[in-house]
Amino acid sequence: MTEIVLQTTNLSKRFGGIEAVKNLSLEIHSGEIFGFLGPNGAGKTTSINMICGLMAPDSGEVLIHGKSIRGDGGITRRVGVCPQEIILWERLTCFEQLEFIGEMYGLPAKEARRRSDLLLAEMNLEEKRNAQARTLSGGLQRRMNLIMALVHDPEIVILDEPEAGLDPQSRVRVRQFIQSLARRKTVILTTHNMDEADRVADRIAIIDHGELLRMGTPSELKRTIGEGDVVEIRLAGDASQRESALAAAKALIPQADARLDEDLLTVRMLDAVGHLPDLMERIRDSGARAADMRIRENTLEDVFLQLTGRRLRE
Amino acid sequence: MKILAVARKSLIELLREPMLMGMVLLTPLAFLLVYGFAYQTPHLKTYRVLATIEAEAGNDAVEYLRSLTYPDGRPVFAVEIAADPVKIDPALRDRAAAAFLTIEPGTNGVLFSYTLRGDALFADFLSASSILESRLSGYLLDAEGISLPVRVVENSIPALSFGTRTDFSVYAPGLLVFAVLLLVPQTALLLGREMRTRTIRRLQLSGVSSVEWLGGIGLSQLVMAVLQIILFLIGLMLFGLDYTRALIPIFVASFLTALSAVGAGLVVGCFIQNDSQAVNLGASVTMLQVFISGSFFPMPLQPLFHLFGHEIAWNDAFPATHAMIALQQAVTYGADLSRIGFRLAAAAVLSVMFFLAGALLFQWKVFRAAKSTS
Repeated sequence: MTEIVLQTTNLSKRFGGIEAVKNLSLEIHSGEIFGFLGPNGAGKTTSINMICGLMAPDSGEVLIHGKSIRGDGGITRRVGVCPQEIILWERLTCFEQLEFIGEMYGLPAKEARRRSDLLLAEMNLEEKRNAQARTLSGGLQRRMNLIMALVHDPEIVILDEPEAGLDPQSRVRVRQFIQSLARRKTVILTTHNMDEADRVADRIAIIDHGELLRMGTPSELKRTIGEGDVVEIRLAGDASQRESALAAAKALIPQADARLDEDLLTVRMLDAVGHLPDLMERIRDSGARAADMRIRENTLEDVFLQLTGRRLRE
Repeated sequence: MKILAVARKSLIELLREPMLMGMVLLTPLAFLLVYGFAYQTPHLKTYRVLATIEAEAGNDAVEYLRSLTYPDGRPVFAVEIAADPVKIDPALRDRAAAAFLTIEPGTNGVLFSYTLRGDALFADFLSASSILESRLSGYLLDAEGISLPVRVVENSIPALSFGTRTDFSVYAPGLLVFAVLLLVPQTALLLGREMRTRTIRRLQLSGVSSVEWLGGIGLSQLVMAVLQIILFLIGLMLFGLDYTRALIPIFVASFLTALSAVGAGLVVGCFIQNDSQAVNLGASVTMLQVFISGSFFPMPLQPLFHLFGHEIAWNDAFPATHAMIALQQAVTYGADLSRIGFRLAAAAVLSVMFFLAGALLFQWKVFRAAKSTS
């Protein structure tokens, strides 16, 4: 069994009357990529701020290698944080930023310079080595934002929404980079992007309204809402015809999980392909018409929907 | 050494901002140019005096006044006969004339009597009336064959160690204090920018202490101060003010003012959220200190108590006040360290207090979130 690097026990934080984080208990293992999945305002960033020591919890504790971070000045050397917003010194060059923050983390100047060049190369930013941050595009700034968290070679890397606002090219580069960190570092990734979490994370904690709803590997989480595939049919027709179509689907496959969200009929069932012709016929009989249709696997979005009754982006 | 790294980074950022560098380094030089050209000559004015003569002997007295000159040959008075009485009061009120002299027939065998009118709040009236009174009294006594017991000679006061005292040499220390106090908004600006761009959060995450960070910012500002002082002193020399014998006191006093300015900048930094607030509030604090210290105009204050033989008023709570007095003594009179020791010591103690107060307040107000977990 892999070693537990980071542990939180009953971590809680209130802001006025709002309970931002409620009794959050996690165990994060060495070398894993751990995803924190939840909608905006779920309490992810507050949890991260407490984990990295920026914010004191009202109750509970954060332990790194079994030792509380309270009063441990060395915590900063072990953790690297890539904040959600881009935080760069506008008038420093890429190299100067990395060198400076490396020195702030206590690296000797020579080592800070060596690490800076290394990270610039890993993130394909060598050409921008002497460019001031304010002259970089948004995507390049995001890449810089990410490697700023790594210059001191931390054991635990916390990435808060690292793919937010990235162009497709940068997104691919950042995702590859995060995956390249796996096994070398313990990575905690917060995101509201289920696809990002599904593709990158070894284990995922789903959080909403400050509460941990479920935790496990992506496939474990998806299994919790049932085996099989999901059929999504966009319906044409009036509201009563769409309701009739939902009732017909439920009648056809009683063990399936069928839902209607405005004009989108979602049916989760085993052997979806085999049931599809019958399902389409029943829908036609109900008076509605299938305007569009697709079959897909379960996603984390479905897990979240199942747990909260709403979608991640709502 | 984190302090040096912060100082280096702050200086790099400043160097890449020509507008900001210009504000701090060139504004004082612009003031120096204006004052340098405007007040370079010794303060020996020719006073415009309006006169009405109602006694026969008055004409000779006026001619006598017109004949008076300074050692360099310039006339002391430009006496004009006031043809239109209606224009006299406006001329005095508008300070177009220093004084109005009325010469009337004398009584009891005196050649004539005279009255002087003018604006008692106008320095030229006070100077001109003093000279007129002494000269006319002497003239009357002389007419009676009596010598005036006091001999009045108008001359410029020589500085104690160098050159001739001019208005420029009087204003120069104030300009130097003003120049150094421009570090208040600049220091606040550096802090405001870290808050606006949220880079302060990165610094908190890195575990750098507020002492290291603020110490680094302070160090960068003191480097700027040294640059400012050197440039300013070169400027003074170009305008003929030879202060070289008082170089060390001037430098020490300026440097201490810079330390207090950085401290004040840190205090300002506690109450701002962004760059523009930093500049606005910082500039207000600078101007307030400039006026309180008497750098532009002397402050007429009642002393509260005496300390080591020096009068202490409320504005002595500010280091800039002591630095200003020390600079005045050094620049104008070439005073050495021993003569301004008290002022320098007071400026040093207060500057360190300002800096520490600023650093502590900033630590408490801005860094406390990070501190709460350690």
